[in-house]
Amino acid sequence: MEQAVEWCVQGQVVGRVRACTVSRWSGTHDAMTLDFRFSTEVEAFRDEVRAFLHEEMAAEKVMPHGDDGDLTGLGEEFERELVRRAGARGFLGISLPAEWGGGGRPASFQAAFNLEVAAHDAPLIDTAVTLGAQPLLAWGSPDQQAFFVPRIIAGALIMGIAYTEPDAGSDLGNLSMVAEPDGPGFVLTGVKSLVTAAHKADWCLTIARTRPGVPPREGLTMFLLDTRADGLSVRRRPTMNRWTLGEITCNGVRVGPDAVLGEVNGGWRQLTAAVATEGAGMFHIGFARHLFGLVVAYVRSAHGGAPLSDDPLIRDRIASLHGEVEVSERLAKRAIWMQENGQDNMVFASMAKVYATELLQRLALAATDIAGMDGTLYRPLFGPGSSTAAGDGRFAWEYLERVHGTIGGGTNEIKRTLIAQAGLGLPRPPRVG
Amino acid sequence: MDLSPPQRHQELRDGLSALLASHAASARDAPDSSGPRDAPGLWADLVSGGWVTFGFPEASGGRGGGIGDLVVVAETLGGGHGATPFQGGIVLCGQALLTTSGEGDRLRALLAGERTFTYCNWEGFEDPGAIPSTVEAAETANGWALDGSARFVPYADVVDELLVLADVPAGGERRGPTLFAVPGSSSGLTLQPVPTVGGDHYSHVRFSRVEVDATQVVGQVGGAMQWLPRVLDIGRVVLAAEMVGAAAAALSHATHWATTRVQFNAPIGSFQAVQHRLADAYIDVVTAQDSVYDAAGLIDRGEGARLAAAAAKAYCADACRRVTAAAHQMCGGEGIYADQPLHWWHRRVAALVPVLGSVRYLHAIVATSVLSD
Repeated sequence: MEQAVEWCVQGQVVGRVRACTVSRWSGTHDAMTLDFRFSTEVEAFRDEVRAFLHEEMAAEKVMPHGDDGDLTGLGEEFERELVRRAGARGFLGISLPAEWGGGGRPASFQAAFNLEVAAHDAPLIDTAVTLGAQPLLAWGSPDQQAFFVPRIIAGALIMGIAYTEPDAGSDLGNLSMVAEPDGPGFVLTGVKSLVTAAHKADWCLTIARTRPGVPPREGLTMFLLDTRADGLSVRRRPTMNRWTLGEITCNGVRVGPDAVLGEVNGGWRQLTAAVATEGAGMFHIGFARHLFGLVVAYVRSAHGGAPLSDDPLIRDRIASLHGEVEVSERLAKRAIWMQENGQDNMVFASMAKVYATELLQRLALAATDIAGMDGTLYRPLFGPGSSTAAGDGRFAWEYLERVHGTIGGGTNEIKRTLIAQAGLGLPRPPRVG
Repeated sequence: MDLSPPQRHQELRDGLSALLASHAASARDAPDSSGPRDAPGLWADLVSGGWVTFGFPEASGGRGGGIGDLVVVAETLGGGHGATPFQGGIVLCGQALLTTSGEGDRLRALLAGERTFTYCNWEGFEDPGAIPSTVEAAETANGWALDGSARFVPYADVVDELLVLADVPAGGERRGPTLFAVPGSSSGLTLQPVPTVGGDHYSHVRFSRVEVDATQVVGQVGGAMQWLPRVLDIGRVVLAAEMVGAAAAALSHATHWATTRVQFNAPIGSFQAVQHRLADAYIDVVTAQDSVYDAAGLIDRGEGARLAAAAAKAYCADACRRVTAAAHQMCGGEGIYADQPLHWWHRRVAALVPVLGSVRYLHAIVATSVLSD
């Protein structure tokens, strides 16, 4: 259909637009609507992962290993064994390049894996694959890659990320750990804080100042740090939900030139790239689906009377949260889809992180709210006598646990600034000082 | 997972946006709240240009495609500056005629722009399955007589035929909701304009023994519930799309304002408080948009969409109201002037929120589905 339409402003013809001349449809509906479902291949893989987790995370296997001092809720030996078994099944590095021994599958495979392990409370989330693989593949020397990558994919090591310092949280440019040249190597001195898994990690990725007297973002270098090195100590500091974060003190830790990751004095560029390629956070969706399912089960069960699900106010809240869980998953999937299709997904991954972590807080709040006094019962994950029953100490644990999601991995304030500037093109603020 | 926007959708958006822009000035001159805000000439251009018949089969004179295309048209119209008969006149009537067999002539006339229709539920646009009937039809010697009233009927004063949903009582036993085609010129039909916040062209329609022939029954007597759920799903998704279009336009307007408005020697968009509020509005827009596309995809793939359509419209109602409110706050005093476009999108979203089910009602649908299995 070709037809010109004239358009006028105050009686004057100011332009002509064509009538609708869009292409004809192909006759199938597939090409004209968006499809947010994982592909059948991804779903098949997801089923495999689910079956594996169903067996490995069975209550009788897991409960004897409860450890409330660990973020995963489980002891280090259990975790190491499970990570090895997941590696043996080929689950780790499912989306890493095949030439490195990875599965070579699109990013949605890793995303589906993350979703399921989170939904099963399995200690397979902050694995070395998530934390270390990307920087190693991007900047590692051939020797470093040959050492680390196969071990990462086999599930043979635990890695930690040690970027943050007491005075350098969101403002990483302010970090002060020093790495002084020492012959061909360096001597590291300083403190890194808020390090997840520091007490059990075999290796840490860190960053330190290698050149004094230059602007804050210059003269930084990334290092692969052996946590057994002389002069390195870890202090475990309990969080409000009992598990600990580590404070790593380097008191003259000597490292060789082979500990440098990437370029000497090129650390800032590497760090920003490492942060930018953080995934869409599909594990948050796993947490959210799990918690939402527990809340639904809780309101449907009768607690000595009519089930809470008969209450219209509860029903309204459940419906609202259901919609938000769906929204959160779609947003994460969009970020993954962009990644798979070679698009810059930094803005959408940031949106997905902001949305999911705040939704988790709303879910935990609703859970404790709805459960009344039951919502104040507290038990750590896999703690003695706990069960997976809804409300059995879990809701209060969630309420405390979901606080840190909006802080770690880039605070939601930093992410919103990024969304506004990179996504909407809003101007940077005038620099202060 | 395939989230590639079809090229045709971009063509649709671009072309339709240009057409809307050409009508923006005349729409803005229209009254703001006390009466309908039609863009004079826009509807004729939309119909003659073939913009409004996507999602209808080519065999009936439509442009083919599916609900995925309808929502792109609705979204783009939502970013415009005037109300149109698209929702009631094309989407609801067209889809109702499409799903009732033997109504090919009416559908062809509708899609060709030869005859105009509007859709008349018994309580405005609320879900007729959920509330008691306010229009009833009784069988007469020659056909049917309709009595009762319906509020919020769009464009009832200008259309050729009203497709009226009426309940058919038969003795003690109700035969159920039935659709009747009632000529706009029928005697016994009285109309009263209904002003709304959204500049809708609504009438309160009263039926006082309005007689129609038996041939004016659309589909089966008592058969409306066979097609109505699908039409309501489609209608909700299309309404949500229109809200998304309005919210996106408001966000775009506010972003432009924040980038150019200078206070304290800096564009206000460089301030963190402004950036974070607009970042939240951006998240609201993209998530609302994807909820619409996802639900449209389910309908087009023939999957059950009642839950997804209800959830999408409920979410869009909340998210889009947050967006237009944020846009107003960011635009400050300038945004509240009637000669500025922002209030139009703020009004539009507010007016669309309760149509085909309020948030409360849609949440009840969602909860029933989520809590029952």
